Amino acid sequence: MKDLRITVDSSDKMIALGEILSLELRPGDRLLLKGDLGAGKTTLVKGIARGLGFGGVVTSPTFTIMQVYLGRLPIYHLDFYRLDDRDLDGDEWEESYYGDGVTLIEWPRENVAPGDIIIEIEVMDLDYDSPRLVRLSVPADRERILEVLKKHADLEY
Amino acid sequence: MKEVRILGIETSCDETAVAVVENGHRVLANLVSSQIDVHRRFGGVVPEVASRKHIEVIASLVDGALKEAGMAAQEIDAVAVTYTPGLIGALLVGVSFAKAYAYGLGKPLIGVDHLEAHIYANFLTEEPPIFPAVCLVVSGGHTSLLYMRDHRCFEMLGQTRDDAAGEAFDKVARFLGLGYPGGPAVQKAAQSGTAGIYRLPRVYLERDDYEFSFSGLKTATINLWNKLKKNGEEAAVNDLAAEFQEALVDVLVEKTINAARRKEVEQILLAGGVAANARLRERITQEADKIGAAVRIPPPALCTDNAAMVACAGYYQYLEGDFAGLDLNAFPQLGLAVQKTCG
Repeated sequence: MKDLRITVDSSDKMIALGEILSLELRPGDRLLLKGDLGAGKTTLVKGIARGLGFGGVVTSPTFTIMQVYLGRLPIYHLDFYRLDDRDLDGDEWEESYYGDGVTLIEWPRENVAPGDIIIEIEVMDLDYDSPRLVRLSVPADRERILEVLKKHADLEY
Repeated sequence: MKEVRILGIETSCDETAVAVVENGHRVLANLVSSQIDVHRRFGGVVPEVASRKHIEVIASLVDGALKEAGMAAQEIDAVAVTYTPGLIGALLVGVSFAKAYAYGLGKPLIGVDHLEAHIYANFLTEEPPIFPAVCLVVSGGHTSLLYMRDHRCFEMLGQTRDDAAGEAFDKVARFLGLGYPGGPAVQKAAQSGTAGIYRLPRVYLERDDYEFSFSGLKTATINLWNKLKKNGEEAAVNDLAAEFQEALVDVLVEKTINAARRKEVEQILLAGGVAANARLRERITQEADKIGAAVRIPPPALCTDNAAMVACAGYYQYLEGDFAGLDLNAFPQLGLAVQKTCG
């Protein structure tokens, strides 16, 4: 796995980060989005969905568990907040993976499959008025994702 | 006139529900098999577990509802089922069952929109609402403000851009350690607290539209709590719960009242689980009174997910001859029926 840390100081920049990230996503990708309540996971998904050409409203899937947006690729937006650790063993976890599109999972389980892209959003000092520290971990063969993000001038590293 | 009896089936999320409603308002049976026990055991709504539980109980619930209604299956005039929006696997159980049941009986099938059904809970009475009306649907999964011009004729005025109101209640309740379900837990804490001691934002109130956003309020609540703790201050959870509830209710009430005033409606219809919130009921009734509008709120058992509301919505589709084919499919996303234009 290769890592990159990015500081994001506004929700607009979180959306921008998602848009840039989307440029490198392809069918079969699964992104695990970690972070406390209110960290900005859904905001990042808004950016990714917009970048993938979805023009509608992205809302929290906490109650619906899964939402599908049709962009350039289908976007599967899942949220396991209401689920318990025991719920998604084995098969059920494997089912949260869709080969024809991009799968974005908020509140994922700890099981990580080879190929998963992991994004952790940290609220610095637990102060929600402060910037977010975003850590991206990608498989070695997807290092290009980090290169593209590094190139983008609007984001500070 | 012959009585029309609709069998309603609802499996869009947590509850398996079956009801029989006569002429759109007389509830002959209304059974809900709550999965809350299962969810508590499993900690949530597991998509696969939820679907399996629906399958296990749906047939016996239909038998039970018919028995309670004192009817034979053949005496049903149509089968109405929620087909959108919801969890795909869960919806499919109800839709597949309804298709087979309607086909077996040789009766028409009706596909019902869950959001529309929530609003129709207000019609399960001998004195139905007066058109036009403004409807506020607030639940764990929805926060939508609609203008209802006539039967089955809705205009979506606004929705949440992020979290639904009920979701914000649940997440704040869990964060503050108040328990589950979040709505009643926050309400209970708030009753022993005072709003205004802490100050939370009324998100989107400055915007002159009907959009909602509750993610920012959730974050502000968590942030305030964290800061109080960090500064070593005595944090009063009941006062914070009261302020959170007040901030959320303020936005719901003001936007709904603005819509009612501008659309010049006589009635406001509340629907969804959050409509059971006492503070919301109290505030919206007070404010509606000032503009000469009346607020209608279904009894709590018809606010949360149930099938009587599905049968009721199905009745009005029956009257219009709006039937579904046996190719009816489940559709997980919000926004089919309620966006249709009116004839």
